Amino acid sequence: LLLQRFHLLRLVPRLLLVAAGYYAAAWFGLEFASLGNAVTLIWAPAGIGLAVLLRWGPAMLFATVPAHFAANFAQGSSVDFSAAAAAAGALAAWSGARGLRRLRFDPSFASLRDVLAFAVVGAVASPALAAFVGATGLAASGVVAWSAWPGAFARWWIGDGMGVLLVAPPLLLAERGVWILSGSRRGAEAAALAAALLLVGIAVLGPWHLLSTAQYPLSFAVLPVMVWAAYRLEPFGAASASLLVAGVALWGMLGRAGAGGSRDEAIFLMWAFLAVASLTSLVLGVVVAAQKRTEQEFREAQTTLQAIEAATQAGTWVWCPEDPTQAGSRHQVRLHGSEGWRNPVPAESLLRTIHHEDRARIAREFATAWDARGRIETEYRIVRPDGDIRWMSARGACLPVDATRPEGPLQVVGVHVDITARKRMQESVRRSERLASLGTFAAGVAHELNNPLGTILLAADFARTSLQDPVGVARALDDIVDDTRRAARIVKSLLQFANAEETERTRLDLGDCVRRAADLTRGHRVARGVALEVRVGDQALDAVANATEIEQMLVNLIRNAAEACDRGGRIWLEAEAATEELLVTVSDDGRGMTAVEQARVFDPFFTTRVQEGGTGLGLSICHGIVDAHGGRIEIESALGTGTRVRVRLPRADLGASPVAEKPHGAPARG
Amino acid sequence: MARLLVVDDERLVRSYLKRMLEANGHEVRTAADDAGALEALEGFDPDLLIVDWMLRSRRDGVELAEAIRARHPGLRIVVITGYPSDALRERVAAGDFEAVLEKPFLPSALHELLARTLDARGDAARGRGDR
Repeated sequence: LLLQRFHLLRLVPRLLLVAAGYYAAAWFGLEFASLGNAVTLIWAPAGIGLAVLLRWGPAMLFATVPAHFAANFAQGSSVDFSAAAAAAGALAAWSGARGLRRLRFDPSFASLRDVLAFAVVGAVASPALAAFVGATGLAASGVVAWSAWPGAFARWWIGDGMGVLLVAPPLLLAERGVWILSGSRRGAEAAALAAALLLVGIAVLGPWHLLSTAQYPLSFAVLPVMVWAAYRLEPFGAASASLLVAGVALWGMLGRAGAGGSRDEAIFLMWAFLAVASLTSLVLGVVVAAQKRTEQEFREAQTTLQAIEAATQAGTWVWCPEDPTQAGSRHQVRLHGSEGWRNPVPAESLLRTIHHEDRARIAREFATAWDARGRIETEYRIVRPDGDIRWMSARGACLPVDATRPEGPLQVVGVHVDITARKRMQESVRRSERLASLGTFAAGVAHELNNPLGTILLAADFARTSLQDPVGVARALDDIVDDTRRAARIVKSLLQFANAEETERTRLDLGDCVRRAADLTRGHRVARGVALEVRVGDQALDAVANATEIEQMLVNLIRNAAEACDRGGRIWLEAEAATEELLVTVSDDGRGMTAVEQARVFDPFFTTRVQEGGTGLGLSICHGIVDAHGGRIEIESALGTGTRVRVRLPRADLGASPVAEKPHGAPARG
Repeated sequence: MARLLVVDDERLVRSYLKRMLEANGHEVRTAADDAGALEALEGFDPDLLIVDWMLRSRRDGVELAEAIRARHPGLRIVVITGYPSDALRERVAAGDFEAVLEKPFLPSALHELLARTLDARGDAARGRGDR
């Protein structure tokens, strides 16, 4: 109810306003009627009726119909004819508005399609309906003879059409006009335009024949001013200028009414001129507005893109192999270190900045993405003009240039980001992780080495002091030989570990790796006061694997377990053959982890031991090693109870394991 | 002369230390792990324990030494190890140990250490006797 009342509160003043405007326009129109006091040269009420119905709906008929009838009646028409004329106007406005709505006509004249629909439906078709009803009404009520029906129809038709063409657009565009004129500079320009238009209009179209004669009209002289209006003030400017010119022309026509010359010819000439000029300038206004809108959108998109690039430190690029001169990075070329480049940059110049070791690969990756219409995600180095080497990460995809035409031309588009800082950090962390695991190894090796050395020293001393006992000396020397060999073996295994490039896989017993890892971590465990229990079954655990990598992984797992334990903690290291795989389990009764920590534990750089200098790479390295061996690594943990890590590796004896790889590097020397 | 217990999981280290120490007139028993050590202590009250830190057993050498000393007060303890570490030095400094001897070592180093340690014991015993 409230809504209804609110609706009425707005509707009633609107109806009164429309009725008053319509009545005034109709009254003046009839005052200057050219034919039988009933047909007008330019019937403005037709434009008003169509405009208000388009803007505010068919309810406006409650204002236009009574106003139409009243104006006709006040100008001396009969009740019958007044009713017929009002019905004709209502029919034209209603059918015009309905037809245009059906055609999704945009009252702001956004496109040329809107201009076309408006001209055909609003200015030609609907007025024909009105003219048919109106002319028939004129003849039926005896104002004109039936023989004059065709002439009356034509004049009514054209008069109504001109009214729609000249009056409806300024009304429909009024809101936009207020906005345009509210700018102080635009307002002044509009005033200057109106003054120029009046001046030129009066000179060439006015009643005094200042610059033209009836025989040689100079009406086209207003065209430049109308073009100016259309160009600067868009459709609103064009429509308003047309209305102004029409006003002046009408005034001139009526002022010269008494003068000589063919009146019909002059009227026809004026209609033709006004119709052509107004439609042309409206089209121009629409085109200019559309272009300005496009420019504005382009500028906004450009600004947004630049803001995004500035905010994310990313650069965007477009690349197309079929157009090598135009391809290149469009924005933030400075990421590649060449401030002086102008967009677009030739792809060749960009390619030249890429580090020579990466250049061929990048070109290949782009070509692959292009051929497969796929995505590209890559990292590469660039060499800046000052010699600085930076790491870049690029992501993109091969897409159609125009998304609405998938079959059309293609381009590769994407972004690139400078990732040098991240790369350097990763590298240093990897190095320190490697040093840490090497440190554990070295300590283990030192222990293993010092024991035989201790024996050797004791045996040597014994031999020297027992020279009178040849058998004892010989036994001591044998011991020395044995333990020297033992020491040499240990040194060799250290060298193997240090040689990280070695990825040779051999058939091995996983149990040996487990026992070795247990030995190698002994020092670390004992130093932390953590006990280790090793359980390896009697059967051989055949796997095809890289012993060094597997040992490194197990050392990492045991070290993690030991660090999760307090003094007196325990670790269980078990290896067994399950039906389809080999299973190594490392469990501890240490602190355990929360679910959140468990979920992230294989992420590189995730660590729960920041204070102790954990790098967070240990488990991700383990994951990588197990992955590369075609296995799986699982972790389960309960806070305060302990953690269990299960490593599953393929069994070599089942033939399910990966075939031994050829070593990448040179064969091991020694 | 003194009674000595040597605990080390290296067979050759045990055998050479035993021969060497016996040659110097000591009474020596040896063990490879903590169970063996407890066995060796039956009817044997050593003056000095030489123990390897890293034993292949549940307790490490330091824990074993502390456990034995709880039953044999006044026991002198020398820890030998092939794994020199700050953690061990701290534990030794915190406990009541005579010394840490790092492998490899020459017998002369052990002899010196024993002479010092056992002399100190003798002084202490004489001191008690005088009073």
